[in-house]
Amino acid sequence: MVPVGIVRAGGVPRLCGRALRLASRPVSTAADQDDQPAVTAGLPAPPVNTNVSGLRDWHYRKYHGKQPVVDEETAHMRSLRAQRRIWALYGTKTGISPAVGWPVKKEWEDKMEYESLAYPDTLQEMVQKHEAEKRAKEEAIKERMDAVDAKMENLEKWKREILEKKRKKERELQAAKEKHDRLIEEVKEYLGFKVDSKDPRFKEILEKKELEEKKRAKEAKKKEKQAKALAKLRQMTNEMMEKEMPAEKE
Amino acid sequence: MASRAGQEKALRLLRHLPRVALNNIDHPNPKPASRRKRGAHGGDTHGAGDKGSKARQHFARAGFEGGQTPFYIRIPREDPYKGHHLRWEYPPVSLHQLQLMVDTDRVDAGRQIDLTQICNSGLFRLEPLRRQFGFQITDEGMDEFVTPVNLEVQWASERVIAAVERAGGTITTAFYDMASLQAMVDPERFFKRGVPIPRRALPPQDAVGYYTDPSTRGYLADPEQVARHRLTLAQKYGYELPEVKEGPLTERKDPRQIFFGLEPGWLVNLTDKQVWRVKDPVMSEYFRS
Repeated sequence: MVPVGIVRAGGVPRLCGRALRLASRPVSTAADQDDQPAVTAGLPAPPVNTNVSGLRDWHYRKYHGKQPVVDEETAHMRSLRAQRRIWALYGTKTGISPAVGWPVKKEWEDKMEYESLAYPDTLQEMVQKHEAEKRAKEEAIKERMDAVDAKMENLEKWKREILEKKRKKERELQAAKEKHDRLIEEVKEYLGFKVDSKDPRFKEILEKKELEEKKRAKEAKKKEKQAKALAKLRQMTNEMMEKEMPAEKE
Repeated sequence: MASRAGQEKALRLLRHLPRVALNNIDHPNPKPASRRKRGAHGGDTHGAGDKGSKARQHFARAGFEGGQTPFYIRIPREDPYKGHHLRWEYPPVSLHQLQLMVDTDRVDAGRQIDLTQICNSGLFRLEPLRRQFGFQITDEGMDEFVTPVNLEVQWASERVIAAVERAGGTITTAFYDMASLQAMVDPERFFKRGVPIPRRALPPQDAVGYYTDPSTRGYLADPEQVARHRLTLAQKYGYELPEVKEGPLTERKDPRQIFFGLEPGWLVNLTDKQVWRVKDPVMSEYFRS
């Protein structure tokens, strides 16, 4: 197993950055201590790297709850969004003002515009709209029901009418049929043999018959008239005779 | 009519014949054994006929019927999932589950049990981004529900309301918009964003009817009407309406409020344990309206 920190580059093992840092730590040996000049005794001790975990700087900070460093690598942390989060996670010790949390002018305007479009009505207006819709629906239902009720009143009457119509039609058809049959029968009697109704002779015969009937009717009328006239005349003569008779008697 | 000798012969034979099985009797065979088309009589075109797309393994697409309008186009489409991505969901929590949570201390019955409390129990999860707009309380276990609770859910049926009120509790149906929901579902995560508490929005037009109706215990309904409906419901279902004292059972949020004790517009810092208020008059007026 290759020990951590050693990177193979072209077959030649090299030390990676972390290992280099580790390797470059100041380590004092016995020989060094003997050669130390007295000048260094008053100077402060060199800084000791306590980060023995080997974690990256940002990772070490995150793990230990320290705020992140904002430099050219982490420039995105300068945004409002990131600043708000840093403030929320690490508090006022970050030096960030809590004011970053609230919306800036642009954000506020956008928010107001959005709300004016998404929520145009107040609660009262919405409730009124809802009530109006409900009422409209109920009214529509009521209208339909009333219309149906009105029609139901006339239902029996209409039923009867329809039935009557139907029956009348049937009766007319029946009557026509009977008449047709009767005519055929009459023509048959007249001629002595059956003639088809569609035959042209049928029509001729019918016409003839009609003419004869008319003649007869005319004659009958004439006779009636004559009879009437006669009757009248007789009556008049009777009256005249009665007038004369008493005179004669006297 | 077999003779005696014939019968004996048959029986003697039977002793030596093999067991009757499908392979030694005459029976209809619906699946004849497939035979490889090889050799003198199976060769040449090997059952593919002459030329044609089939012989050249260049078949038409599946469903093609030689030009006739295919079945999968002829039959009209039906859209059973049309608009499913716009429908709002209310994941169920039954009264049985609620009773169990209360009995096992997963939820505190001494305070209002709302969306946040149910999510904090760890047993239920709400995903607002999946159009889940809250919990609905179902009637499973309504006969065994006995704890007086102050319940706030997003939908409840009449029977459930009756069950909760019969046990001596109160129930409210409240609406939370998307931003408020995201704060409610995981408050800790929300506060780590460093944004102020949002102002809860009013319900949309098609939900206004439900949340202003006292019969569904809407949070925007008139409290007097609600009291009257409590009484009528008790009469309808035939139970004695217990007295509800002023206290944890009657605490209610403002229609624009999300968390108890915190107003919209306030900024909360969990690390410093500080709460910051708005000073700007415009913002302050907006958040307080």
